[in-house]
Amino acid sequence: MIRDKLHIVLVLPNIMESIAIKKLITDCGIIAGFSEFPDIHQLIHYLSNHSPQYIFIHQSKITPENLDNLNMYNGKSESLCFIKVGESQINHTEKLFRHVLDTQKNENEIMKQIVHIFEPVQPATRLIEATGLSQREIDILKQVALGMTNKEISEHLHISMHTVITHRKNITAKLGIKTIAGLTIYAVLNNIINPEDVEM
Amino acid sequence: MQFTRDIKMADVIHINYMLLTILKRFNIPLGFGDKTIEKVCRSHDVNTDFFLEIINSFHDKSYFPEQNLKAFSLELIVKYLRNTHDYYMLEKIPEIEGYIEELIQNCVTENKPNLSMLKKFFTDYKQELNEHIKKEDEMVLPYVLEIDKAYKNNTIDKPLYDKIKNYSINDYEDEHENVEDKLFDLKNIIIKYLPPLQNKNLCNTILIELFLLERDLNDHSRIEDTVLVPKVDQMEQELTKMYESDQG
Repeated sequence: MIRDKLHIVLVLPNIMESIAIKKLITDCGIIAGFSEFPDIHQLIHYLSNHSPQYIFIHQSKITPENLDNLNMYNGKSESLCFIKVGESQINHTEKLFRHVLDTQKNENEIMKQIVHIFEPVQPATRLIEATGLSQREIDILKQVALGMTNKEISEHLHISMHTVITHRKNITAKLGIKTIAGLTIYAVLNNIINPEDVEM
Repeated sequence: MQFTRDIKMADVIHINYMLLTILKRFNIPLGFGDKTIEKVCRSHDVNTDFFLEIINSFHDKSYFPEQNLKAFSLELIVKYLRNTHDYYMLEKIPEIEGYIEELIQNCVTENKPNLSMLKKFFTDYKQELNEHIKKEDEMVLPYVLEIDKAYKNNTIDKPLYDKIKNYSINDYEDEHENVEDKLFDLKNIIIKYLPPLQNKNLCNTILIELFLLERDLNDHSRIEDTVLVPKVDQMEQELTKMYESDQG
């Protein structure tokens, strides 16, 4: 269950703004790698051989000329999203920008904007690095979380009770979670089961 | 080190602030100036020897004065255990519940459903702990007092004899474990698996409270299992022997 990190690019006027935005994104549970550039010229150079998913550009960095250069990336890839960052009354006329991020709002409002921007990202990309569980262990964890007994699991997966018990011991040792209720939460957090599948 | 009656109460807290919760359980308020343990205990009508054994056994796990603690009356031990139960159910658990609720209220990210799941987990835990404690308060501790009374009066009737034969204090020793596992899981879920929370201070507060609660519960079980159970077990044996020889 190793997933690719998101790749986010920032073109912002100063270090304070860049630190703040990175922190807010991380606080939203987004795990990402960041690249930063001082201007759009360098950004365009970088885009010729990299494909980030999100690009945050401050309004002060945009000129009609460099906007033309950026427009060639518009619609080129579904997974590439441009966000315009700016103070209040930010105008949003360019088609290039899918979202605007108004930095004059209060913290909660800004968080909501960021959550909205990253909504299309699969929850899987937001969470958790490798668990160390084997595919077989994940299969068994899934059954446990769905409320099946050891006997039912052994019948369902055509393995002996003894094997089921050994797997369960290993899962508990690897995850540090002992109870079924705890394993269920782990399974939901990691998209191994859907929250609707269990009575939570 | 071991605390003795002539140490200043203020120094006890400086040495180990974890003992603050114990003071509360004995209804001893702060503001003791330079008074010694003995003086403070006496002015609040607390048995000094018993107080010392409790704080020493909490302070140092390797110090376990079973013989000394067993010398105290069961009434004293039962009263202390009941106060501790109240402390968990009426204070600590609702406090942690409040923190979790606050975390949910403050959360605007998609972590919110995860936090609700955590809350449900904690509510279930509370339910289990409550059942366990209720059983102790309503069945085990009254039984203990009944044994204590019979032992002091040196008499045992048939109903009590039957009761001992049906339910011995040793059965109760096995019942502690499950509740502890849930607390262990909850900590690990927050530390290892929950996506990072915005409100890190509150999150840390919750974790610290869970660690403290876990430690307190462990010490509490230790007193029950190593003081209460052996003491009652011994009384049960003597009472049974007495009844049987009377009959025979």
